[in-house]
Amino acid sequence: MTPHAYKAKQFLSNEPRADWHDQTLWLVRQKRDRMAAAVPEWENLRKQASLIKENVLSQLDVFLEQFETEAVKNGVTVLWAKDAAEFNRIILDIIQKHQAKNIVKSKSMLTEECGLNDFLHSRGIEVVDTDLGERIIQFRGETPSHIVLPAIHLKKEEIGETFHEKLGTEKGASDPTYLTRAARQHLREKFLAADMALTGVNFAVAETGSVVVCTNEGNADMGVHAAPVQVHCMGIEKIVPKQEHLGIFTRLLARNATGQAVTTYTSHYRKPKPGGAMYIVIVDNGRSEYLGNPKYMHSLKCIRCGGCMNTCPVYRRSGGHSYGYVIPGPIGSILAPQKNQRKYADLPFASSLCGSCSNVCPVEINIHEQLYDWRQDLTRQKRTSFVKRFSMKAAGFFLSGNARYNFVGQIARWAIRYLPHCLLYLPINAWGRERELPSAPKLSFKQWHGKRVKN
Amino acid sequence: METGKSKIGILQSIRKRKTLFPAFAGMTDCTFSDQSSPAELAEIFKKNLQAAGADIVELKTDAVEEYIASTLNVALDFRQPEIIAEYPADCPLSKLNKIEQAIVQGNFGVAENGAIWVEEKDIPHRIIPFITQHLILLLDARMLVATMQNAYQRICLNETGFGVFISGPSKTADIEQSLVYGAHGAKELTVLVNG
Amino acid sequence: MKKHKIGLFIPCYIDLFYPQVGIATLELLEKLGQEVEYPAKQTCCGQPLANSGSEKEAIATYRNFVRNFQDFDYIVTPSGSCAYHVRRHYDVLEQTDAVKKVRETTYELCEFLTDILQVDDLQIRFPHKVGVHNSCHGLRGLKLASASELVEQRYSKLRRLLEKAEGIEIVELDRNDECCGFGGTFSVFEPDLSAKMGKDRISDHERNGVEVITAADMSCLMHLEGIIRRQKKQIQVKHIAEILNSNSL
Repeated sequence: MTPHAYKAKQFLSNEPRADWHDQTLWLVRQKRDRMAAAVPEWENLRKQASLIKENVLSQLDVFLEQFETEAVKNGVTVLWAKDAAEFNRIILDIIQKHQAKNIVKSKSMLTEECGLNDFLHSRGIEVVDTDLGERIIQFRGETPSHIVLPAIHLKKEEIGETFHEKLGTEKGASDPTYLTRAARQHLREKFLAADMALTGVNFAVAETGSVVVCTNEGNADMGVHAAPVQVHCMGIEKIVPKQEHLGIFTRLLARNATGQAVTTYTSHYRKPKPGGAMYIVIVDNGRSEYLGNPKYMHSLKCIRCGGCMNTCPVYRRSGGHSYGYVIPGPIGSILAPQKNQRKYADLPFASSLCGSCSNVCPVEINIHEQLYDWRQDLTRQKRTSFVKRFSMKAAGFFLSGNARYNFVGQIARWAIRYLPHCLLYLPINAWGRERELPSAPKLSFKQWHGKRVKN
Repeated sequence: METGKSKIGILQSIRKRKTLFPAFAGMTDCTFSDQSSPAELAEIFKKNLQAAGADIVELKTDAVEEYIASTLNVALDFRQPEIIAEYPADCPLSKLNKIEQAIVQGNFGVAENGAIWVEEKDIPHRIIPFITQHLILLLDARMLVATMQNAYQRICLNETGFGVFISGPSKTADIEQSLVYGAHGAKELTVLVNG
Repeated sequence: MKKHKIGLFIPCYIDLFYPQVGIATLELLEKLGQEVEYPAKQTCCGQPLANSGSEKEAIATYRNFVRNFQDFDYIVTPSGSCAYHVRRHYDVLEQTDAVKKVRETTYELCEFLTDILQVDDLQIRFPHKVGVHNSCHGLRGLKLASASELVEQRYSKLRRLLEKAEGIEIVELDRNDECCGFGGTFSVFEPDLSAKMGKDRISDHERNGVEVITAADMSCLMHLEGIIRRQKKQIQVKHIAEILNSNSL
């Protein structure tokens, strides 16, 4: 069994809970559908967003330099990191330079990707995640199971238990409003004491040097405006060329992510606050390597809405942790092998290739086709199991010639007709664990047709 | 913090690979629904703002001040010079954290999602719309656009250090997807639409 | 109705396990006055290999397909998935005239009936509550119906054909086009997920009072039937070709 299949099996062993997870995310998908349907030009917006991003990728060096020039003019310090290690070190340098003690962070998948929290922790520096969902999983020592809804795998009773332990809420209390209030109070203290705020970036506008951050909770703004030092962390692909392009992306993002018309706050940071310092850290970490790759380049258009997770029938029933990569679900399964082919070789196979992800994607990434392409590449690189490759080679031999095909077909049909049940349904028969094999009628179509032609 | 070398490395890596595919033209045709009359826009705006969890009070322009004086008499009105002077950019957070109600001038609203554009020039400290428990935004009823695409044609990011679209009070659904207002920012948003 | 020379492609699992679906397809096309030939040396479209990552091993099977089917006006098959595979994934072959022609003229049965033959009413009777399972490759690959994710005009080629049947009641489902979890070798490499997805699909049909689940892909139905039989459920599966070929009025 592949790691994903194994973890999916574990996830499904508690079926009512798996059903709850599936249904909860399906409701988000339905909200998204209603929101999309209310915008008559929805499909055109997707097309435009995709074209803008393709344009960005084809001129990325130009736009990045323009962005830096503008940002520097605005009084921002722009730093570049080629990989995760350099990124982490840059953040550490900024912390040390400003002697920051109390650091707050709003959601940033990039910092997760680079393992920033652990890196700083090992140097005795604690970062407080301020997004409620992220704070919950941080308390529990877990990783996000979804990029937009990081604690979607948890029940409120479990969160209540965690808050009781960490925040002293009443034992057994699980009312979401009560728990949210407790977190509000706890995190407000953190904001007021913050001397440095880290955020992710949704969009970076080349022509103005601004970064745009979208949140519902207001945690990015609370941190950024409270702390004297603000640091915005972005992957190189976050660029949009012009301010007007934000109009397209902000129409798509929240609708597709959570089924809201827009996030509560769409914040545009351009200059440091009076007396404050502002940094933007631009991170490559393997992205540019896939730029010239016609098959996989389009994955860099992703705006991290999480829509493909909500729609994915596999993700909904296996949970984000089953993927074992920082970004789960369909998009994660095409990004992960870019980072490490050996480690994540099972992920492109953790899909039925239904294609719903590609239809949902607000920037028209052909996710399921890239999954298909990764399957070919990983098999060619011998990253998949020998048994699988060997059986496919054998199947290829038998399916490619009429006589061979008929011969094997006869055996299969004979086996199903005459072998005893216990032999047919040995544990090795993965199909048969929860399903009957099809029955094998006396004549195949080919045999029936042969007789018909003779008569 | 010398990252010049990395910058050159990243840009070289991009340049090396971008030659492998053609330059894409970018945006071609960007049509959007902007056919609504002002009255229709106002209705759509109201509906979407309420859906985002905000309260709306519609007032005649000359009734605004009276409404504020009678109903929002504890609110700090950040249009008033003396209030602005009292909360400067270097104002301690402990003082800002005590703000219960803040009145802030909104610039314009977006019908399709109920968002209102607020800029640095309208607030003496950037944190005010977030740190206050209850935010009151003033909006001229004529200042509405249909979509975010129209909105970005109206603003100029290059003229402000910080600007934000606000649609409703702060919210979260991180606990079992149950919607709770008042995560970290304002717990309530009231929009006074005048005119 | 114009008469076309049709090459009938019967996918491997239909040939071996569901010959009645092949027979229904053949009879239906003949009833509609088509000249149907079944090239006897056909095997498989190669999809099971390619979807498992072994496209390379499938090339010989692709070539066998092209050899068998290059001389027809149209190639018709009762499988959306196989038709999609030929059209979309035979791009790895050298694009000779024969390959190009085969890719362009391969049709799934329902789309052949609606788009090429422009069949309106097949004059059939099927007095049952029917749930339509939209198999993914037919739906999103061949666009046999509008997909729920897209903002587009709602349509369904399968429903258009079924709706005219006397006595039929087409049932609305809670999730109109969710994947059943078959997914080719996904069904054996992720057996628990695959089975769970199938069970959930069946529950949706049951909850809404469906008697017969139909689809343009027997592979999905084979998977669903396997679960139905294991769990000894009442609900049945029937390939759409069997319904469209049934009980002529």
